[in-house]
Amino acid sequence: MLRNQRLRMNLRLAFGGFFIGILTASLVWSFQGVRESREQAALGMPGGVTVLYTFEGPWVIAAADAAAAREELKTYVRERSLALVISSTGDGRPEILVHDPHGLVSWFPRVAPEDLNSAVSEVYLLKGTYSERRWSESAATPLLPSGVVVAGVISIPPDAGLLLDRVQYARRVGREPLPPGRYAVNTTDETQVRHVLSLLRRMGLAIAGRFEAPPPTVGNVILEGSVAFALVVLLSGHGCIALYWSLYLRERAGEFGAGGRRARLRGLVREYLVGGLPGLAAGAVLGVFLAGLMVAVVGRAPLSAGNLQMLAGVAVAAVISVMATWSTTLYVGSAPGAAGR
Amino acid sequence: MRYVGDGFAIALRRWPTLVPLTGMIAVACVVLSLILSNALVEVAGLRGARLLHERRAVAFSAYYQHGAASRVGDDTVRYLAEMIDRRAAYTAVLGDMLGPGELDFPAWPEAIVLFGDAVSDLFPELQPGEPTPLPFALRGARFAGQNADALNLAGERVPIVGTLPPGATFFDMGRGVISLDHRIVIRAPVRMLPLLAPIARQEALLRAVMFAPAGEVVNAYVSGCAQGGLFLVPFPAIEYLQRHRESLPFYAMHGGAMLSLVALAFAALMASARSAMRQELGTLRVRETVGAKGLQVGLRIGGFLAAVVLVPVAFLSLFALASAQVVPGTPGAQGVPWVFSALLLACLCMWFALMRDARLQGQVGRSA
Repeated sequence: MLRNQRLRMNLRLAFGGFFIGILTASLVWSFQGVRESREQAALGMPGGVTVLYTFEGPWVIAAADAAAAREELKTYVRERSLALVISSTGDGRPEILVHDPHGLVSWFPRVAPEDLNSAVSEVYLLKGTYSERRWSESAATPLLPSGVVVAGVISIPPDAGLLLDRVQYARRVGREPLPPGRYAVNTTDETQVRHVLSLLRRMGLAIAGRFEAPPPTVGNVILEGSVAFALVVLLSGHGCIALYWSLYLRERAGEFGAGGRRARLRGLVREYLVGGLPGLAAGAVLGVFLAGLMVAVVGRAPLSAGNLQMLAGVAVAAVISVMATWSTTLYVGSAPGAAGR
Repeated sequence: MRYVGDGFAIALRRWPTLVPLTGMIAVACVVLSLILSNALVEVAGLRGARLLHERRAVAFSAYYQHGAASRVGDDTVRYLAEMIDRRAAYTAVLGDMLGPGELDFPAWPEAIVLFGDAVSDLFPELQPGEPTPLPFALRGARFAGQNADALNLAGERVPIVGTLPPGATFFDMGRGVISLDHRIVIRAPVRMLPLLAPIARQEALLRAVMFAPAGEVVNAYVSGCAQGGLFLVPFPAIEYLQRHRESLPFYAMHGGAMLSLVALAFAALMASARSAMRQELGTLRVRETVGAKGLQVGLRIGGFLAAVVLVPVAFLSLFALASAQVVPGTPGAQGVPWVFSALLLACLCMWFALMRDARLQGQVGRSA
């Protein structure tokens, strides 16, 4: 192949590699995003989590019935070794209620078993909130219920903080009626969730929405809509580039004509695969790093060493995948009879 | 017309390749315009928040007692009213917070009531041309033809003095960017604040925005509202900026991915168009010898490209129509015109490239 021709081929390969690099980066980025949001939703609880958004139902429930259902819910959570985290979504006070008999919620102070059923008067302020600042300056706590004692300041994982909006403090579930809000329980078992739902209804709460966050393993993150879409987009991109390259090869079809199949293949590998490697690799690596740089610039977050390492991994994956597509295109394009099509 | 039809036919004969490609371009264009629309709204929100940040504004996140409306004391309402009078704060009643007896307006659109002169500095569009005494109302651009000249708010007559320019918006750090096209904006004097019904009054308290307030001022306000069962968590405008900036990489990444897919699909499309034209060139050249002009070849290529972009354009228009119907008044399909123009530009480039190709091949063919 002439030098000029090789350069032109490499340009075409780099073009494809570049965009496939961006698409690969976007797939990995969606994957990371879903994993992070799953971890956020779990609020520090282990395993998969089901989140139920509730509001006050239109039906009338006697206080005694609601209290009975609440105690049943607490018992159920304890017996099944679960944890329940209730956070306000605008109804009621800016608080989180935690029922964690087995100490599963990492950021919440563990409670002695004998205290589980006592009345609650202790609250923990969340670090960095308005209430924590005001309490440390002047011991004033206007957003807390009257009669409670501040038992300390706790930190929640920063990701969870974003999800919880501007909640100010956390306390244990006591004997007060449970407010409507966001109920997170660390199970995705349908029978268990259904039982929790029926208890919530008996407490007078209606369900506005339900969100499931199974543990973020590779298998079930791929099924998430945004990741699946990014994967389909990446595969479509490979399809487009294969078509583009194969039409280019058809123009040069005469070159694979002569010789036996084995000799032809050997020639192909040397001329096109090895000869095209610089273009493929440069394009894909450039695409991946440009995508990473764009996210860093737009998000005003400098690239950390970890980010760079991840980008390097993505770049390797992108190079391998474009090479696979290019080899397949070559193989199909050079098959006997293909040239004449 | 016949030549355009020829181009269409060339495209239709190759449907197994072209349909997936144009389908991909269509889907990518719709997703791209969706991303662009959302990003534009987000950027407008960030711009609004930056304006507030420059004035070191503090807003509030509200938590209410469920069930009943809060009962915040009159002294707290007066406290806010005094701040608004000193231009140290402004507030708004957004959404359908006005009771049926409170506002009467023939078309009954959603009304926004704004208190405070500071609004004029932040949102110059909400100021009529000449100085007008409060209260007054401005109708959204969609109500431009309406001839009602006044409405009643809380028993007081409010003259409608003008129409807002199309695309006018209001920004609230809780609700984001609010399009005013389908709404009526009422600028009310502070003395009307206590006249509002409890729900609207609560809304006015929680939408308050204070400029560079002292810590004690915020504390007094928060305590006053909390005593009435309205729990307000103050936050500075910078917090809005920090939280919402985090969504921009999302748009950048997905927008980049969609652009990449469009680029790859266009490359494949261009390659197949070239090979199609080359195959058809035989027929074209025969016609050229019997008098086909460059213009006619151009029309054929134009017909081919029109067939190719038809699907994406149809999808885009459907998307624009659907989003206009589903959410009237919210900034919906703002991205569509941009993507549409880019698509046409790309087609124009392809047309020129294919024409050049055809001309070159024509010359090669003749000299051979």
